[in-house]
Amino acid sequence: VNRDIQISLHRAVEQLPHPSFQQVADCPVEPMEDHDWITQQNAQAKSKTWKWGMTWRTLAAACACFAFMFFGSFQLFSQNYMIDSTIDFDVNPSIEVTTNKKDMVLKVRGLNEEGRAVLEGHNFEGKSLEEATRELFGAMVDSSYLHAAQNTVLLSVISKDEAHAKRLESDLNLWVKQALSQSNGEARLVGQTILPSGDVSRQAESLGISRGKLILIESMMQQIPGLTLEAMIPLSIEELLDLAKNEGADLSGKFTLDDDDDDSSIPDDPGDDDDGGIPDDPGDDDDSSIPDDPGDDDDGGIPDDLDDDDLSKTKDIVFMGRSNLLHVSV
Amino acid sequence: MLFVAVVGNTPKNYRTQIKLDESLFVRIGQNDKDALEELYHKTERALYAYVLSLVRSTHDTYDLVQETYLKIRASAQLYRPQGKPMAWIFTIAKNLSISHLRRQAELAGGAEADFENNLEYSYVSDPTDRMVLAATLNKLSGEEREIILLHLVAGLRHREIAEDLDIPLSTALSRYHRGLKKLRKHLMEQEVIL
Repeated sequence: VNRDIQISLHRAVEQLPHPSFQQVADCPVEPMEDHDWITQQNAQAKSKTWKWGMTWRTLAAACACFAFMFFGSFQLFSQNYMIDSTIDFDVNPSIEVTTNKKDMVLKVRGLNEEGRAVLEGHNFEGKSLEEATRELFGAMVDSSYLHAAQNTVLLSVISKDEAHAKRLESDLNLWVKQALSQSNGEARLVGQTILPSGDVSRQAESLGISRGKLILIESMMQQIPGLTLEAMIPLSIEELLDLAKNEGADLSGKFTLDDDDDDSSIPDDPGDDDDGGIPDDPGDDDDSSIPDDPGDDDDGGIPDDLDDDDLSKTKDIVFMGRSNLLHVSV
Repeated sequence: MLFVAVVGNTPKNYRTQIKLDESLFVRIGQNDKDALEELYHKTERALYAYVLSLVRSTHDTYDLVQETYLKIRASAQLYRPQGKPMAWIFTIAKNLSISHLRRQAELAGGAEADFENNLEYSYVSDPTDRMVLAATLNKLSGEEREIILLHLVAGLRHREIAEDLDIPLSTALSRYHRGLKKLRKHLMEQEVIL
């Protein structure tokens, strides 16, 4: 029906009188100098331009708004909810802490039975890493997983950002020590930073140990023949490091040991606060009244007339001589 | 009355898009007759349908279409290309039509023209075609007439009509369907179509 109406209407209009081209072309006209209200373009043209302008402006504004919201949301999400770093604490309990970009704890989980036992009754999510670390090590002392005979902690920071990982490692070192000193405990800290790797994660997950411990074990296996994963997994970090020390394995390429390692078997000089039993230098302003012990063999042969700068270096040297675990260059 | 479709005389060039080069106006402003002829052949049908929808008189449409082309010739050199040449032509035609209708209303002293019994439809030979044209011009609103005639007679696409008349596409579509429905209903009541 519509088509019939169209055909009929079209045919009717075609039969109406139309002006011919000749009539239009032959009629004389006077060229106008300006538009009059009949021919003026402004109203419609401006309106159109304005509309197009508005359309593009609106579209651009909408896109900008969308992009802002998208990136803002993404930024908010990445800052708060995306995993930025993972920290593995290994004593014998193995505990994994994941944090966001702001170093706030997203999740804490025990990787072995002991780890899960330590976490019982604690909720770390949403706390700062510092707060969680202090609480966690307080709990390990309370549950006797850290004590005088077993005080070695492997601290592994896994992050894509190596600089951030190094800073975290340093901060954690401090927080752990402070937490333990509050509980009258001490610890020997072995640290490492690791770049995230899917293979390592999968293997560690399947073995039920932390990535940090797996890397430590693999490093030892490369240097000590005859070791097997099965035999080493149940060992605590203390036991692993003792084994490495006894077998002469050099782990210095991958691991760092804090420089104020305190070996209780070495008697401290009464005036010495933090040098691991290093005899005071006569030039040390802090405690010049305390005489040096020139005959002390524990100082690894350090001359007694070193100044303060040299003293800081001597700590490393002494540590190297004592533990035989790590080779720290001066 | 039975609606009889005359096969073999279907509208040609239906749904042909009017692609006007705006430089035509520059050439027309320089008295280029070929440019004027090209403009005339490309736009006459649409212009005629548009003016007819406004004034509903074939005689007036004839005069106003001619006057529109003369106005274009006189002002073509003043045209500023803005991407809508057909809209400018429609603007001139509409302004001329408004002016004409005002004058006519003043002359008639407020009395409305009798479009129902317009003898001008006698140009149309087929009685059915005549009735369809009369119904289109007399039973539809001005807005509906514009769209129906521009789409069904001039073959403009709805989008073109919307752009040229500066109305949203959805408005053009709804006016078209509303007008066509009204027209169909009237023609069925009059038994022009079954």
